[in-house]
Amino acid sequence: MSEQVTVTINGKEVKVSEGTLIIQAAKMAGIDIPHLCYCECLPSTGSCRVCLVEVEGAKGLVASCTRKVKNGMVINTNTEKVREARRFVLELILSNHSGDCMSCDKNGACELQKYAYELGIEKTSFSMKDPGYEIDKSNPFIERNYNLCILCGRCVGICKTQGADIIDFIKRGMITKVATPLDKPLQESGCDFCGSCLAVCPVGALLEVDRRFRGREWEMEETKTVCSYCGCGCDLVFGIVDGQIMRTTGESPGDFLCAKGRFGWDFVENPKRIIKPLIKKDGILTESTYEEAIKFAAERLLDIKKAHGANSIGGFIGAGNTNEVAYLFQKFLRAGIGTNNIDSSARLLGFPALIDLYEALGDGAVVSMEDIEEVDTLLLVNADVTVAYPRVGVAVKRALSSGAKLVVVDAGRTKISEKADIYIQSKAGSDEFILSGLLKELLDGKVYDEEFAKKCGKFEDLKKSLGKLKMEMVEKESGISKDVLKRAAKLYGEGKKTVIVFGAETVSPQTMELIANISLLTGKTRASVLPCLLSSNLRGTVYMGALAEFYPGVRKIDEARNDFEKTWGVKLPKKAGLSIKEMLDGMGSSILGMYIVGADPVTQFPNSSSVAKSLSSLDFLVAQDTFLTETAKLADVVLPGITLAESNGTIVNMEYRTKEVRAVIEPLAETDWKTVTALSKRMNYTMGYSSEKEIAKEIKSLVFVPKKIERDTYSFILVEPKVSGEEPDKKYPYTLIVGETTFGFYDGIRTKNSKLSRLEPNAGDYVIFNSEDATSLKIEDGCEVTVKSRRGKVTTSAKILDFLPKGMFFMPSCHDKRGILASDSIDSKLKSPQHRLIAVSISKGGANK
Amino acid sequence: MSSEGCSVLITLEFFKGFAKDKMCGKCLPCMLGTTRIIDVLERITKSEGEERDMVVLEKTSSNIIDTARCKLGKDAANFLQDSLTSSRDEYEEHIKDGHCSHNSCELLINYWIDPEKCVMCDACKKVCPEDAIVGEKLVPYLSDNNPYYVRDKKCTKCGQCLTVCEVGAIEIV
Repeated sequence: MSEQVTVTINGKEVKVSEGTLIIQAAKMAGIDIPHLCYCECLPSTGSCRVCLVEVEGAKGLVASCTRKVKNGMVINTNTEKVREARRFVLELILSNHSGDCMSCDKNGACELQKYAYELGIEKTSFSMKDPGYEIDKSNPFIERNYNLCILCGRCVGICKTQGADIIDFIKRGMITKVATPLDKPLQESGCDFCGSCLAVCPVGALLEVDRRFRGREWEMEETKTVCSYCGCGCDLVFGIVDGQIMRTTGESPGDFLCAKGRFGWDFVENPKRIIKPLIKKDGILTESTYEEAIKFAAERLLDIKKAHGANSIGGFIGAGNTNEVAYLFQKFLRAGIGTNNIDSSARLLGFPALIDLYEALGDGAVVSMEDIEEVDTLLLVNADVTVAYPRVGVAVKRALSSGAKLVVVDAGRTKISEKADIYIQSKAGSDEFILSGLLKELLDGKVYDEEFAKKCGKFEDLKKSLGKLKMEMVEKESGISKDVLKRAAKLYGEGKKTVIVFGAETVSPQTMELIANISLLTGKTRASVLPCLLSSNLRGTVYMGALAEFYPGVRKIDEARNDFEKTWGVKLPKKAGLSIKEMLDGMGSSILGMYIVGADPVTQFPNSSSVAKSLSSLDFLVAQDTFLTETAKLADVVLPGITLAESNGTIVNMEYRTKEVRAVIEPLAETDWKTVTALSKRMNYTMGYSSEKEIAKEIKSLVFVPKKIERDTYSFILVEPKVSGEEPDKKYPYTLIVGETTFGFYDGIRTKNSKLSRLEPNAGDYVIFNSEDATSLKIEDGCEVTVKSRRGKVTTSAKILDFLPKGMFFMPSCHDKRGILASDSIDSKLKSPQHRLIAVSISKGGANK
Repeated sequence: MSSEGCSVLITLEFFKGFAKDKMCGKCLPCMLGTTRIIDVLERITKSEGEERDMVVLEKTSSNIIDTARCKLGKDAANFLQDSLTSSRDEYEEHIKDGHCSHNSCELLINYWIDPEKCVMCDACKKVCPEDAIVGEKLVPYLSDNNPYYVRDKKCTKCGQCLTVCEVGAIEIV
């Protein structure tokens, strides 16, 4: 710890550690020094000169945001001289601030207004100047009124550190302006719309479009909750006026939120939401009452159970629900109906393979995002962190800015790969070869922790199997020379604090095993990996038992059945449950009834035309969702669901933190947990909960969330590298990669029903070509193309961008029809399909030609 | 009174040069303050100055000295302060009387043809690019004695007439 020094501020003695800025020391003493350009989350620039203070013995006034304290310093923050200087600067700024506080949304929260009031400035003594800039209203999220800009530079600073680094000052003097390159609109300049600039702007120059004229800050009711998009689970603060979402922001100005987290919430209030239950009558879904729908659904499910047994019913739940709902759902199916046929979208997004990784390394291996910022070497495997898991992306960027080294393994030329020390542009599906090659190079180059590795099981076997691995084969399969792998292995192996970040839904289970091996070989078992999860409550959904093979707490069916029978007070089914693929295959014969909550398998699941066919062959389908999804359209009863923004409960994010979700607005429909309990009661299994808290209590007593897996002995896993995904052949010579985009999200149901879709080109309906393939296939930007796979074909438009190497194409995962193309073949053990790499053929023109 | 020329104009030129070359544009008092100074000085040279402008100039310069981040900004403000102290009467003359005693501030001066001296040779009228000089060339015994005069509204004070007048009849007033 650094040394403590004593300073006197306004006659008050404070002890602070050496190196503290005066402005921070004053804050600790409870004295707020006015400031405009200074922001705690940014390096000080000392440009606004509002925070000037008098320091005894110093020449002239001192900027408190740049000067550090010294022992015995005597500081006065509010003398007449200081006030006069501040008044001067504020008057200058006010003379160039041609706004009207009457109609400004920042009124009451504006820092300029606050300080002008405190210093008693009625009117500026300079003549007013109106810069006369046009207000930029061209994008759906950020309104930029540079007539109100005070040139503090906070937005420029934050865009550099956590944004897309696209804005800076242009021109000089009085006509200085903050602008993008060539002063183009944000949407044409590569802006990620993270909105970090909005959060730091002290005045009304940058405002959320949605917020304009809908209420001032003091009218806002603020509720803290958790973001329900990706698995980062960032904390959000919703500002609500009259029961409507007005804006979303982080807890403090420097908290990063991505475009989805900050702006993607209008789907909650979208008029297309299902609010009333629907019952299919003569093939048409018609509105009915809640009681009627529940009664009808319960009766039909009971009929099926009576006639064909409990195992003819299955359940599927999305990974974006709270732990409470996921727990209730599986309890209803297991204890209420009596079947283990439960699955969730987790199976499509990296589970249950991840369970093996957690078990191999122990839960202590998962690093927190704050800790990533402090590592010195990063290995990114198939993780487009800035796009798919933006909070992780910022952590990586921050680590890089403090000098960390970065190795990126990714087929796509992602934004983060431009900052990599070594960028390994792998062939799609060759990750296993690359990681095996890295393992071999680590071993051969002797850059590993021999002492630790020797203690792990199967070390000799690993050595032997790596000895057999031919680097020529790795080179051939991955297209990467062994020298590059050697350099990467050296860089990674020599790192002291290293971390491997990978996308859980984008890598194969074997890749995860190889990642565990690399961690063990380098002796890094604590805070050394981060599996990035795509859905907000993936881990929670799995830990609540929404997978066929596990009870809550990831306890195996056979081992834990007695315990759960005791607590739930019913006999539980012995028969192993089916995974979603097995259920789909059995539909119409062995599976006759389905209950689907908050998930859209028709869009999410690969080979969607066959999924739709299977679902329509069911006797009875109940779908519970927020929108009329493709799945809900096939349902016999549609029950309204609610979004996470209307739910109370908990989720578990990718760092394994349990976070509290709070309802920010009154639920538009009945809450999910009440719907599940109502349905269960009607089916003669009463779950008498009075609130979400009660469910949480039961979960806690059973599952101990978060239960940590601690390990003291480790073992290597032997992996024979294979090409993952579908292999191209003569008929389908190209590889299509399905991945995330900045303004789309997973199945796109939320982003498409919000204004985010306006920023996604062609609303996500496109395929990215690289220029080489475009030339050889004679494709132009925007022209119609047909993508054909072994399952079906999709007509979409082409977008030319050198993102992937030759022979590979990219389709956003929010594309409605990507499911038609993907393969649903599953491996026998994990039963999860590898559906993100698809062998396709591509031709110009529409499907009819 | 300084001997080298009009102090207001010299200071204005100095600040324009400062804004163009030295100013980095990083700290607000210097960036906004010096631009304000330029505004005020420009108005003074156009006889649009107001009495409170002296207060604004004094306040701005002394405050920039207190608040600016670096020496360059402070030096610039010092330049203005020195000029204000040493040539206060010149500034006041510009503001109150609308007069530039160095006859340098274009908008504060007028060209005047002394009718006593003018010989009506038409040389000035010929060179005037703005057609600002009115008069008829003298034709002995035929024309009246109508000396030339300058139409102030049209005159741009380019000075070409001054150089061609052989009798020195044109004066700056």
